[in-house]
Amino acid sequence: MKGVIFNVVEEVVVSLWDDDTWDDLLDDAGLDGSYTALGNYGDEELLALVDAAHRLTEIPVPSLLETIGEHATVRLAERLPGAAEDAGSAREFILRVNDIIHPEVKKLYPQAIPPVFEFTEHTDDDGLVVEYRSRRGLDALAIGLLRGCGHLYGEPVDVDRVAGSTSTFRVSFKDA
Amino acid sequence: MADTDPDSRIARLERRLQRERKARADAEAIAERGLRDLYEANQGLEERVLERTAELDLARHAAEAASRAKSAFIAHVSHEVRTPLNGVLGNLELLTTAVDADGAAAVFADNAGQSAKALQRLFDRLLRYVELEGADRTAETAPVKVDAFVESLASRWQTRAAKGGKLLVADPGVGPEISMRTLELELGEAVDELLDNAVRHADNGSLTIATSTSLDRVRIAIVDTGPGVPEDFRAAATPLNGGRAPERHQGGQGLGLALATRLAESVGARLGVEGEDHTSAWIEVPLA
Repeated sequence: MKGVIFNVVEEVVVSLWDDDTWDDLLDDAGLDGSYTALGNYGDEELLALVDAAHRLTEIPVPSLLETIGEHATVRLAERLPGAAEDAGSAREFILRVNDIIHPEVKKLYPQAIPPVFEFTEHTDDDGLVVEYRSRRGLDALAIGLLRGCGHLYGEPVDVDRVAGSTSTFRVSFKDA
Repeated sequence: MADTDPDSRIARLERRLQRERKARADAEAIAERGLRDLYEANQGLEERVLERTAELDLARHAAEAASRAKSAFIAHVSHEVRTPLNGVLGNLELLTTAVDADGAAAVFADNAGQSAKALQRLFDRLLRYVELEGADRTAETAPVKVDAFVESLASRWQTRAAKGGKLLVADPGVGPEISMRTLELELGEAVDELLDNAVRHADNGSLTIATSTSLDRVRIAIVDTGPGVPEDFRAAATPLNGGRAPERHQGGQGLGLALATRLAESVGARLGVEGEDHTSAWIEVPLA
């Protein structure tokens, strides 16, 4: 996993809690913690951090990942200047993830292996059914990141799991 | 978790500092490696560009040599064909005057002679077309009076037009003082080709040689009442590449336009068509 994700997770932890909490999570997870945006680190380091956060806060791991994801979107988007402005809305931004956003990410981080999202548009409203495809199985993080797209535009975005599937979500947009 | 005493606070901050230092060192090492890779990739790219350019150069030279070989071959064959053709023509000539009881042999011989002459003319023009490939003779051009040029054209073509049932009219739209910069012989040959086409294809009525001037050019237009020049005359003007030449049954139009175009371009003039039914072909020649 790219170091930029760890940097953003650190920023989220520091903003939600504080610097000391980040130190404690690293210590508890037994990690060295010197992450640089340009480096690559094992997925298990992220999971070890979330496990440590779970031990510290007693919040379930999926909820923690959703919270971190939701606060990470804006910070990740800041690292791709123009991406949010170009899309203009949360819905458009989400639809651009595979074809525009992730190719841009690959320019900055050639070794990145971003997930793929499959979209189906609702017939009854403007919503989307999103299928998350990744070998990482970080579906809870994906839900949080999708929800965070609303923060980019100050519009509410609801994301719910579709019953019977761990990797399919229903995304609804409401007029701000 | 808050630190209870200053020592453990300092220890925590030192660890944090160590972490940041290591992250910076890692980032720098990764960036340096990336820059070095990029540099090496660029070097490789430059070498490949040079290699490709050299390959393309070779391919271009080969293609040019092939094109020259093709032109030389056509010229050579044309020359070779002309020798026996002259023999055929001469002997047919003799045959037409030889004794023949009912005169039928003379008629056949005359017909054969006409065909052989047409073939000879075709080869002459083909040869001319090949000779003119890439020719630029603009440096040799000199002022030529437009009205005198058109008058001599008209007098040369009036009889032939009349034979085809057409009236040929010269419509001088420019004053007697106007001159154009050209080579009279080559320009004449080009207009001859256009007139030949017009006389062949105009079914009835009249043909007009009209002249006009624009900013820096004289336009000599042949207006006819026949089907005129085919729309895609540029395609027709490349007969060696299998260009489309409608009405081919009437003979020689594709080569005629191709030849006229090369002749015009060799003296810095340009050729085109106008009118909804392409009833007019024109040549624009620089003003002197």
